[in-house]
Amino acid sequence: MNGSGASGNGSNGHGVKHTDEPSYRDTLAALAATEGRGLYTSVHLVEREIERYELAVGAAFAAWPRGGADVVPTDGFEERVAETVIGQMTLVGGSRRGGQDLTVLRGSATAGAPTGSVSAEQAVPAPLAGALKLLGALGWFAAAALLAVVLRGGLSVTLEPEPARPLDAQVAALEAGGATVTPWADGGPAGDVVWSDRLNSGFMRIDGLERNDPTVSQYQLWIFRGTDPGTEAHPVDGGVFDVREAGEVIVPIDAKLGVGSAGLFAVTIERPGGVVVSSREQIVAVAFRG
Amino acid sequence: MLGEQSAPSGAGSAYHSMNPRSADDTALLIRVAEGDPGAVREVLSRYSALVWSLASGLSKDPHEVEDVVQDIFVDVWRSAKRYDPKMASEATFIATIARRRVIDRRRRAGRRVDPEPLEEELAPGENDPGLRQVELDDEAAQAREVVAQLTGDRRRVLELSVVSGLTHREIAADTGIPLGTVKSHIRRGLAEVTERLKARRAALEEGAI
Repeated sequence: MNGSGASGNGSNGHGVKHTDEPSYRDTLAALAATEGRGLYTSVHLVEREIERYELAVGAAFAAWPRGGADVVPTDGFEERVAETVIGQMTLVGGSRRGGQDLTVLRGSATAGAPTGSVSAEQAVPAPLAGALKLLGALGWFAAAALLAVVLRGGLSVTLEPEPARPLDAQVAALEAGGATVTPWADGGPAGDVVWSDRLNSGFMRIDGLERNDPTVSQYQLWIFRGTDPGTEAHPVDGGVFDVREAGEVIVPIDAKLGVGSAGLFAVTIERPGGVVVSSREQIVAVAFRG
Repeated sequence: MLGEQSAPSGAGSAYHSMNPRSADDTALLIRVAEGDPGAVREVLSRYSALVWSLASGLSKDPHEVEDVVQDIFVDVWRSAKRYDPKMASEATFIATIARRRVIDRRRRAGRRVDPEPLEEELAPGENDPGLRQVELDDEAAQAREVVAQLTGDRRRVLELSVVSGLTHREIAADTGIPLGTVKSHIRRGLAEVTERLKARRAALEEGAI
């Protein structure tokens, strides 16, 4: 096995036997691949094997005979899908492209030199949808800060100017994506998680986690598909982040996989860079979305 | 089953590129990963029909299916930087992502999907319009051959696992086949697909294309 031909130069010799001898690793990989633990979540020892198997599963899935679809797309389907994907790209912008860790944006609604202001009348009736719409006119940093205040029922807010980011598409997308707001459970920090299943995207607002030293530990978000972490061995990695200052931080969620329907969000403390599988020893925040 | 063929509209025929591993195609997913909107549209025009066909068993409601297809392509974008042309064709890569989503949906919906009526009598590649739709590229053809040769328990087990997404334990419980045998059917079936794909890739690399 080995040769682990990651980029496997090669036309030959990955040395994978396909005899009938059961191979523990193969069996494990096949199991992981068919049961959905493969490809981009890693069961570390056999990631490459899993990937190989999962691709085989994908090929077989595509090749399996199935009936002609009697459901056909409605007009403009392809264009709508393209727009959504492109909207998502805009949403995440540069932070994903470079593959860096999440940027932590610190809300500055109440600090910093105010240069702009938004009156409450515009914002207050705002359920999320309205708030998001309003935010569309602002940069991400300002937008997030404003949203924080709006959702808390703040009356008026002043904003720091922010280098423009193409957030209109993002905000519109989140709004259209039916984002929901889920507060952190009692005993944890203040704040909540804004998340859209459809877009597989959102952000957290957190106030009350201790500052961390990123060389020692980092926070990591996990997104569970159900609401019982005990039964879910492989939640989706939602990205690592730092809390550098007291007060509220706003953290975009960088889900490494499609979540589907998020049931629960949990923040753990992990070693710098985060981990693939959390031991879940230090859970510091949980939000039950149900 | 099988109503008349219903090719997703706007799907065009472009998605089964005859030459899926040209430099351009290799670059396509890289461009997607880099956030190139043009590349997204290109991927859509090539693969939306495939993905639609893989997802359309989920619902009779085209909006619901579209929703899933949308999720899948968002995932494709998110995962695009992991694409390794030496491991799989684009179509296989995309189908792999699609399967995750489709099965995820099924599980969540709590539907124990027994896929469409089993079609064991129907030799793949014959009169199956669905199959013609999923005419992807060489690689899929290889997988299809392997699938076509499966019979009996192994076929049944693989279908429940690959297509329906049941866990190995569920399959054992459903079919009465011992768990160990279930696992070995799956492992061997998949190993065969893997080998085929690998042999195919090796041939390609040696200059067929």
